[in-house]
Formats: sequence, structure tokens, C-alpha cells
Amino acid sequence: MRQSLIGLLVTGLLLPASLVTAHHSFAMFDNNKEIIIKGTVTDFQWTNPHTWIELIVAGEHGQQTHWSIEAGSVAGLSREGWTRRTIKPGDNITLVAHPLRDGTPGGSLMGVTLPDGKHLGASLEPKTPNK
Amino acid sequence: MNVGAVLMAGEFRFTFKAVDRVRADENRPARMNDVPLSIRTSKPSWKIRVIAFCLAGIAFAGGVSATTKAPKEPTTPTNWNGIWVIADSFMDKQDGTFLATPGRAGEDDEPAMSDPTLKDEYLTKHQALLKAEEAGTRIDDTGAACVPQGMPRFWHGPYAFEITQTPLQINIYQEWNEQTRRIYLDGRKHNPDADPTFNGHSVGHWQGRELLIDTGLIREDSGLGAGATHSDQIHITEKIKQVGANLLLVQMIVTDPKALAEPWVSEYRLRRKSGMEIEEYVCTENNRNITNTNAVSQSGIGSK
Repeated sequence: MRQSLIGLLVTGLLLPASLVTAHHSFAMFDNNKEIIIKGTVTDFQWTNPHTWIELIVAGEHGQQTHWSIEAGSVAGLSREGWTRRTIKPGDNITLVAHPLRDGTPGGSLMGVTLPDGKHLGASLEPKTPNK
Repeated sequence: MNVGAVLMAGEFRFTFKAVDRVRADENRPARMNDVPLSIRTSKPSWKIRVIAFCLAGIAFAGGVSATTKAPKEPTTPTNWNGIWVIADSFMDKQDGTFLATPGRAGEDDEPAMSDPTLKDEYLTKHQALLKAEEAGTRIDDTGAACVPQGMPRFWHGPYAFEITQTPLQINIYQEWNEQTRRIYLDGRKHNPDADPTFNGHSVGHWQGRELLIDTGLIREDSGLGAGATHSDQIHITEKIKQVGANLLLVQMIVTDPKALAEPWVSEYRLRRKSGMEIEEYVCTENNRNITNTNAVSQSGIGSK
């Protein structure tokens, strides 16, 4: 596996304090940051209330880190073209996520590029709202 | 249930045969064992035969006259059966916006979702929660423990609704936490002694082609969303009407003299999605963010 943690991008996104519809609070994620990571999938949990991508990410010095990336529910993703076969163990994928605030290797998925180059969700390009 | 569908004026209109069913049921013993065996097995005497003949004649005559006086069969003025989603939300557009904002699904698109005007301790408590969350503290409501949202959050979606409509009852199913509201149209009232529930007790009636719903008996802990709470005096009225070929408008008014400074008025537009099917949503299947009733994470994820 190649170097995986490509970038840590500050985007300046703001969360309005409205009565949003979410299964749980997302305050544990740093929604002002986006990270782009590459890794090899070990498990794709196509489950409710959230789906999860488990992957191994190789660091610059060869160390391997297990990341847990939380994504939307089956109810939501299935309406966006996802299926339980969209991601498979062994897939090498690149994804963008909001990282956990506490430094635990995990995050909230925003977009992913699959091995065949197909992209789902938010762009992997850094968001620069002021431009 | 014997429901006959008649195509009228370009739409299905349902007629309900429940009246005939009730008549038949009234004359039928609850169980065959309730009828004395001698009556079922012995031959009637000639006196009984004469009486029966006379009664049959009376019944025949009455039946003829009843044909002209038959009670009007209950009907329903609309056909809203099918799958509906919040109009213009990610469920409607299905363009990738859900994945782009997980946990905040459809937030940018939800139409006319106003916030309630809280007061007194309900306001100060909610302000404290929002302040803590802005500072990074994870604040969950009961939804994180897979407890149903109930009313009034039922209409917040974000997933599919399924309406099943008959003349005497309308059921509305919400995918999220597999909730079902039952709206009774048979004239029954709220039973003040009944237990409060997450979706409350709903009775409704038609005013022309508009459905008016009154919902009471809502649990005090069903919440208003984002940690906002209400009292046991919450009461909800709704008006649902069709505003397009495949578009419904839900107008909801929430009152709570203890928690709200003014009635909370909100609107939701629902679009019919032909071809969409309900997905199973078992919240406890893999809930790795579970909290306890004090909104404290039990998984350790993001709890620092």
C-alpha cells in the first residue's frame, strides 16, 4: 500500500443549529475538517442505522492503522445507487471524511472513489467556500 | 375487509362494504358453540315454521324499503396510497446529496422546516444543549438509542413514508425506526385514560378533499428534535391536502402551553415516488453509537 493519508483540509463548514434529522449527534466529528485517505477494505457493513467501512491504511513509515468510517443508512444510500456489493473486502478505495475529534482513526464519510474509478458522494477535491 | 375500487374522474375511489359485513356479523353468533345444540339439530315444529314464514315476509318487505334507505357507504375522496418522500430532499432527488452530508440528510433541502419557539425552562435547557454541542460535546436525543422519534418529528423524515388508505382508517408508515401512525376516521374520540405513545392517538375526518387530523396522548419524552423537549400538554392538529398530481402538503400546528411560547406551525411537502419500495430499517441491527437515556455514549466513540 502506498502512502495513504494524503491531506488534512480545513474547509470552514458551519453547522446550523436547527432541528436536523440525524440518528445521532455528529458533534464527535470535526465537521470543519476533511481528510482524504486511501486504504484496503477489510469489511463493509451494509447495516442500519449506519453503514460502516472498515479499512487498513498504511502510514508513511509502513505502519498500518485500522480506520472505521461511518456512512449513511441503508435507507439513504440505497436511494443513491449503493448496494451491499458496492464495496468489498480487498477493495483499494480513496475516500473523504470528517475525522473524529478525539483522534481515534475514524470519521464520517462524505465521498468515495471505488477501484473502478466510479465516484459516489462529495468530491475528493478540497472545498473552498470562499472561491 | 371488502374494498371495491371504482375508477372515477381519473382516480381510484374506494367504496367500503363494511356495513353489509356488520349486518351479517350482528346475526352470527360469536362462536357456533354459543348456539344451543337442540336448535341447530332438531327440526322446528309447525308453529315455529308459521312464525318463521311470517317473519320472513316482514323481513322481505322491510328489505325492499331498506333498499331506498340504506345508509351511505363510507367513501374516501382521495387516493393517496403509495410511497411518499419529503419533496426536493435527497430522497426525492437521489443525486448523491445524502452521502455528502451524512447525519445531516436533506438539511439543505427540507422545505419550511421551522423551529419551535420554546419558553421558560424548555428554552434554557435547549440553549444549554446547543452550546455544549457547539463546544464539541456529543448531545444525543433518544433517537440514538433507536427509540422512535414519534410525533411531531414523524414528519421530519428523512426517509420514505408509505400511506395506506381506506375509508375508515389511514396508516402512515415511516421507514426511520419503522414507525406507523394510525389515523382513525370512524368517529371515535381520544380516550383520556389511554396510555400516551410516541406517535399519539390520531383521529381525523374529511373536509372536502382535505384531511383534518387531531392528535393527542403523545408521550412527554417524544421530543421536538435536536434535544428540544415538550411537556405532557402537547397537542397537534394537521391538515393534509393534495396540491399537485403527486404532491401533498402537510400543515402541522403543535401547541404546548407549558413549553411553547406560541403554536409551532410547520409545513411539509411530500412527493409520490412511483416505483420506490420501503427498505427495512432495523435500528438495533448495528447501532455503534448507542447512548443511554442520559445521552451518554455507550460505545466510547467520540465520547471525549
